[in-house]
Amino acid sequence: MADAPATGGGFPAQDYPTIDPTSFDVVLCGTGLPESVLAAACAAAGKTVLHVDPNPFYGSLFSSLPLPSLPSFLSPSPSDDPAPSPSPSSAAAVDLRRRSPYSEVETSGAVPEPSRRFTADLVGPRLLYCADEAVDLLLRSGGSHHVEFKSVEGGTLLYWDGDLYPVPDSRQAIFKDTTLQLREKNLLFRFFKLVQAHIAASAAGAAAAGEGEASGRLPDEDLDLPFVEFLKRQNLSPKMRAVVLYAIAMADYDQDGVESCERLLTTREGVKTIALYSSSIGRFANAEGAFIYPMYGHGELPQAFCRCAAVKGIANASHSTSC
Amino acid sequence: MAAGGGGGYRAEDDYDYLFKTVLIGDSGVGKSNLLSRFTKNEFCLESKSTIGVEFATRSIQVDGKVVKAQIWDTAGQERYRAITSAYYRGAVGALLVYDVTRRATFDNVARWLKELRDHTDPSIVVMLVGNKSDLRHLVAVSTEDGKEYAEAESLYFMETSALDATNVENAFAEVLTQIYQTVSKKTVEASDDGSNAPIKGEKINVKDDVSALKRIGCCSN
Repeated sequence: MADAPATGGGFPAQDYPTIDPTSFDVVLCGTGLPESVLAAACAAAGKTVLHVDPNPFYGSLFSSLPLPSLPSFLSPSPSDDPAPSPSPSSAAAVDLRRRSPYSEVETSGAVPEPSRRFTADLVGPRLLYCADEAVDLLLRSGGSHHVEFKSVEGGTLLYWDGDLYPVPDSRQAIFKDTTLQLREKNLLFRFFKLVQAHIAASAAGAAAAGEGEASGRLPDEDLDLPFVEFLKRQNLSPKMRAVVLYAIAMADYDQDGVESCERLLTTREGVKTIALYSSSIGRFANAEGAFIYPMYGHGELPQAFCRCAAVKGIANASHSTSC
Repeated sequence: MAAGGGGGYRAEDDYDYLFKTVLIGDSGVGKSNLLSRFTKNEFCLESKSTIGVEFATRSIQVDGKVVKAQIWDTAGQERYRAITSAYYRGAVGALLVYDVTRRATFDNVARWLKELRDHTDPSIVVMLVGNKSDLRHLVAVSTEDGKEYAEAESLYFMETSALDATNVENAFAEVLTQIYQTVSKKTVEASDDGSNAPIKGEKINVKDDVSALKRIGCCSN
């Protein structure tokens, strides 16, 4: 799985080393983020793991590719595919031919120079909350040695009524925000205070498991409400609701059309995300806001876990068509 | 500019420069033994693919400054040509190792050099290292061949033996000294330019978790 630009092709079969040992507890196909995390976990648990990928680079669809490599990745030519070798009856052939991830791709124009300085993220997390479980996992596994992050600076902006507004996501920001009326500020303060009290009470409740209902916790009927309804009950203006729903709780879909919404956020989920946002601010000494991103693209994340797995002692191989 | 071993005169985390250096080259050429010889003065005769080694460190003195070398090992990934690009990330030095008793490992140097140059800064200091020089009776790559290739590709060159410690110290010290010279030269040029203002957007070290000390909530800052 040499992490080379996706130009296809591999190494001649005779040039490829024998995979040793010949039996494994776990065989993982693909080096996307889930498979790489799994490889690291299995290796850490002392399992023998064979990790294979038909691509000549790490990450599968979670890669960050240099721009010149993008066209050949999007539509690999048939000659790029290593043909499955006939295997003896005792071994099962695993077809690892590369398949195009897209049904139809049209490329036009030339790659801008200096193109090597840019990479294209395919799929996967562009941003991570500082307190995200993925960050915790990187820390616990030692994968954090292999990923360099940068902080998203300058805060978050909200597009509202044809204008961009800074998101008031802290006491200081709410206080400084000149676009908010005093009543709006008070309501927003009160809302955040309510949520913080719930978060604190939930944490205390979890610590002292089952010592009665902790005061400050939101009632279950509120937690099961659509979050947008709960925000309306807190008398937040449409703009403030948008701030909470989309800039802080990171709702994926338009939450206002309760009937038509594909994925309606519950108050429980909304509060959980606000708690995550809240604990992300100030987690790392030199990270300004709640978000960080891998400096060289999210393709670094699977690589970090693959490296962890290798350090624990697994076999990483590419273009291996039978095992 | 002498480079000597760093004694116990400073705390482990007290250094002037930290240089990431990577070891690359074919499987079995002795990369891990070079690393253990330099950082722990140990050698292991048992031949097996490296696992359990992320990187090792050692500090030396260069020009009165404490230079800490953070030397990364491949974790055996080179065996299946599966080294991650992140392995090379931020490296300012590299030791490209071949085995003087196996011609094929020398023939593959060009491929390793290409991979290194594809993934690193052009100013990286690269030393070509012909290891296992103690096995004189089995030599398959002459010193001249190594030297000639290194000159053609503008690499530093040294033959070493991790087994009897020949030139191991010298190889690492030379690489670190050259890196130091490159870095200090850049620093001087930058200050002459007046362009040594801090770069916008600091890198985040996710190991510096301050949340236990300072938990800032949505409304508390």
